Amino acid sequence: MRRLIYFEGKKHFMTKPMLVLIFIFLLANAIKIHSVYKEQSPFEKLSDPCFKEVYQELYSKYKGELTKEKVNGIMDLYTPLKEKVREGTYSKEREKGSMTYNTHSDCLLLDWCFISNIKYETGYKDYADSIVKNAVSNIKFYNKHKNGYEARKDYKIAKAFLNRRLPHFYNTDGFRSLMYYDFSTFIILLLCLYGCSSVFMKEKETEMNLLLETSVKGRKETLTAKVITSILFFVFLCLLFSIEDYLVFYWNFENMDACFEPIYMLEAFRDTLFRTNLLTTYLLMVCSKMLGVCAIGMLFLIVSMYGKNAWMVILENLCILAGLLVIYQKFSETFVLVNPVALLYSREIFMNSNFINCFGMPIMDWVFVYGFTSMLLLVSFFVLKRGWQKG
Amino acid sequence: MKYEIKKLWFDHKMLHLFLLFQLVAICILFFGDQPANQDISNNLDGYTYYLKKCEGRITKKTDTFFEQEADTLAERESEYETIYKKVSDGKMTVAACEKRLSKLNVILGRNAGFEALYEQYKHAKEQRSNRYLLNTNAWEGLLTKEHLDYALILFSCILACVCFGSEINSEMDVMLRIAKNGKKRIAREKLALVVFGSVIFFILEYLLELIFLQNKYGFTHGGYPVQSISYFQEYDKTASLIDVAVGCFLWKLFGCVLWTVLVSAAIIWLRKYTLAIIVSLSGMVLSYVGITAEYVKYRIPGPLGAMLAAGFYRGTIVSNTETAGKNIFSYIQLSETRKMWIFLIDLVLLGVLIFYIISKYSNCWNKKRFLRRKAIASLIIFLIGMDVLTGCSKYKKENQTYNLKNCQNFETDKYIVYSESNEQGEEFIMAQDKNTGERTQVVKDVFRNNKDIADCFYAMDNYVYYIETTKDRETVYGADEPGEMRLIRVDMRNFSTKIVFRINMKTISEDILGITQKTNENFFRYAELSSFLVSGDYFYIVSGKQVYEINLITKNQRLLFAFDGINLSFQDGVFYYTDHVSRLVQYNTRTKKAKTIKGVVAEMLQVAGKHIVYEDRTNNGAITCTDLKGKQKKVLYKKENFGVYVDTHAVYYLTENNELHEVDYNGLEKNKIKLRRSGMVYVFFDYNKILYDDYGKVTEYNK
Repeated sequence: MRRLIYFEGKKHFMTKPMLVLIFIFLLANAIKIHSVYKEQSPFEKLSDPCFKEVYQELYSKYKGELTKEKVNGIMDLYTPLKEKVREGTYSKEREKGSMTYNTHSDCLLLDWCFISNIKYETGYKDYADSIVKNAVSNIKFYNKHKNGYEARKDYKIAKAFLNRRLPHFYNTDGFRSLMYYDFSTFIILLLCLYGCSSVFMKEKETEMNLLLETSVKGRKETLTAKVITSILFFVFLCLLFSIEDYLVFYWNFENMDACFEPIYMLEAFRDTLFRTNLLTTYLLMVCSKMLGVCAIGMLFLIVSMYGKNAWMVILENLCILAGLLVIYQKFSETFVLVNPVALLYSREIFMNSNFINCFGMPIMDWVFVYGFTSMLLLVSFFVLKRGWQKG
Repeated sequence: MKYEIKKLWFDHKMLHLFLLFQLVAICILFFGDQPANQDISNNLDGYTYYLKKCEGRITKKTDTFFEQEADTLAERESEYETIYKKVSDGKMTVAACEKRLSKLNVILGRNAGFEALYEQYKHAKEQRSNRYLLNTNAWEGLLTKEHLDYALILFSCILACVCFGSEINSEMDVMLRIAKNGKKRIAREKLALVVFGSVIFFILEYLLELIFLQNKYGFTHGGYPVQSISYFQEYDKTASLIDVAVGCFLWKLFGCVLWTVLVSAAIIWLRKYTLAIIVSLSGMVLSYVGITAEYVKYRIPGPLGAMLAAGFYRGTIVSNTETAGKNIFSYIQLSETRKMWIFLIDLVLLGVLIFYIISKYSNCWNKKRFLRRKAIASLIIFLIGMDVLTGCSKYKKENQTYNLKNCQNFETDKYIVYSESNEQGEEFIMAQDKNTGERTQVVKDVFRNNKDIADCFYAMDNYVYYIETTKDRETVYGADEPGEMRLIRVDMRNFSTKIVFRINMKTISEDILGITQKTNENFFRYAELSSFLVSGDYFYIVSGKQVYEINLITKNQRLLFAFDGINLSFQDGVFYYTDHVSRLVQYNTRTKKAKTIKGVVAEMLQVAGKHIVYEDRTNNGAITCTDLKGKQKKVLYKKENFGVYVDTHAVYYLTENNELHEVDYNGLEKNKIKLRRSGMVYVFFDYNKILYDDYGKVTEYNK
């Protein structure tokens, strides 16, 4: 079987055009990440190269544990500058005593790179406590109104938010951009589209599928090998591009210090129920993406099996992909939950704390998405098996 | 040649694909088109009336015209109020009032159109020499769509693949070299056929778009400078709208030819049409999606810039950063020389590709069928089915009443729900148990501190609906902006919550893969939301002076009607409202038809059961009730009132000395109570108590 898998892989995915395509797409992805950095990094908005030096100097001083001294130190630096900007009593030209260019740019640098993050981090404990307080008062209320589901839901929220705090200050710009980055998903889907179109078509176009059926391993093992190879290919693509994303973001932002800080260190994830660190969350998101890509890839394989012409297979697969994307974007909740595309953009799942009432038990929505997608994978496999046996 | 045509269009059934893609393009055009300037479309009558008087170049005469019209409108508004007051004081007869009001109403009805035009005037005034006044919707629809035509790209790609690829795939093209006409002639014919097919597709699509836009908006004043459209406002060359339209058409046509030839060459070079399709498509789409700076797309030679075209006529847009020292360019104009160079490079590229194709390609016959009728038929059925299903949803419940005037208090089966504010002015949605009087906040979301909860809400049966908006901020230097708007349903039996509708509220909406970006109309629509109601699978929102219907499942939105912004009621699938000329109109949401109820000039409109209650403007604002057809009028109270409330059995009105009178629908006064009131009075439909604000304390009174 192992040899069969290797052979199928070599035949469909380890081809020269595929390797060249992967290489070109890796390059395109890296360029895109760089353009994202240029667009989102605060230093690109602040022209002078000394901004970065000043930032690095200040960052090395204030990063790490957020002590009272550090907070007071940065606020003492910031408050007079902010006051000056508010009053408008600063020069619009280069100022001599300024750390960067003038008071306004100093103020912006501190505001964007330190103050907004520090404010969020110091205030997060109170925010989490207020959620616990709201949840506890809700639990009493719901118990009184005999609403077990809502009470259990709020209990879960209270438990997840209990004793939450953000004791450290680190730069999270890189992670923020990484979490919102989707371009590589698009590339992966394109490569899957290309790879899958030939898995069953290659034999059909040369009419060799009939011959294959007469061979010893042609009826069952070949199909299993084809499916396993395809899945391995999808997983490989996801891993390859995810690693590239992480490394290129790291290289551009020069900083991923916050990787062991909790996920709610990113402001967009403040309401998440997950308590994992940023790196683990990213890995979980990669795993979700893998599952989603595998499910969509299996649909591509089904089309490839029943298709009679390679370009027609591509057209049909494009239609399937477009349909799934439109359903995900346009339609309401229920359709989103039964759509593997939700796993390709799993940050939405990790960001929100949405529950679904399952016979009175609050189940988080990602459980449903994972469940449905796994089911889809299984069903697709059986459809493929049936189709293969029918010839 | 004849056989090539027959083979490509009939044997390979490219004609079917051609028609299918045209159909898809038409559907996208019909269902996806939105007017660039909604204000113009929504107030077209008024807008056209004023535009006729001032279209064209901004002169001193235009300035005077706008000043005078603004004054006139202000005068008319004050005259309107004076007449109304005179009638109320008995100094003017109702007949005289009606006569004068009818004239005034026509003028005031054009107010919104004037405002839309005034906005354009403000923009045009900044650069009088080349910004003219005209209805821009048609031109903007044609010229400013800067997105890829996916139907054309995909069709051209498949056409080229089938034409050249079918022989290559079966390795029969090698035979060509020994055929009589094989070496060059057939290659030329094939290339001509593919290019011709794509060009015909493009021209037909373009013509359909022109006809559609002409019929929907109408093209006028093609000779006006292109800078009259805000998208081209910074373009520093002299060009008329027609010049740019022709220029864009030619660029797109050239782009289409270049793209088709490029795909053909890719097939011949790669010799695998699956690979060729993927390489060509990903090259095009990835560069379109991946290049964030718009202007760069036009600086790279190749079909992308030419197929987008509009950017060739766009001027430089500079946005200064908040800090000193650096200009950020949102867009950089292409100089004429650079444009010429790009065209020449593209032309050379085209020549090289054609030479490559002709020199490399050889031909042979392949009658392999490639189009599966069943697949296409299923696709069409699926698309039609999806479209039809979007309109199919179960209809709503009966006995549902909503009055915009009293939309701050509702009742469910067990609770009365009303809004209450604290000392800091924060509004809360409060629910009070009808039996025990126990009060509680409706919004129980533990994350509520982090969300904007709208002041408006709606309740019926056992449900309360409220709206929350999440906050979002993607970059450190960006400001907080709305993330998602959600309609939440609270089941008042056990306070369970459910999100029944959610929509992206970011100012710029992006496709799921970031393929297209555009201004999010939802943001503007929902930002002005002042009230809403839910009926069956539909969500009706009052945004400014307009009412929209939104399907909760498909999220399809449509503008139902515009009203005067004050008088709106809903009962059992029918809206009652007064339009901009004070006519009472009945709009049936099932039939989507509006009908004017004649003889009623209403204000403070409310509907209760089989009655419409209103203040009759033709009768000194007397509280009057009539049946739903407006036929049997009955005056309930003639003098000035300070608030009218309705329930299923009676009408309540407040007098100057804080007395609340209860009158039944036959006009018989049943009750009178003296209220010690400082604020709102809440009268509920079925609940037997009246609530009023007694100097900060909510006090109840039994009906």
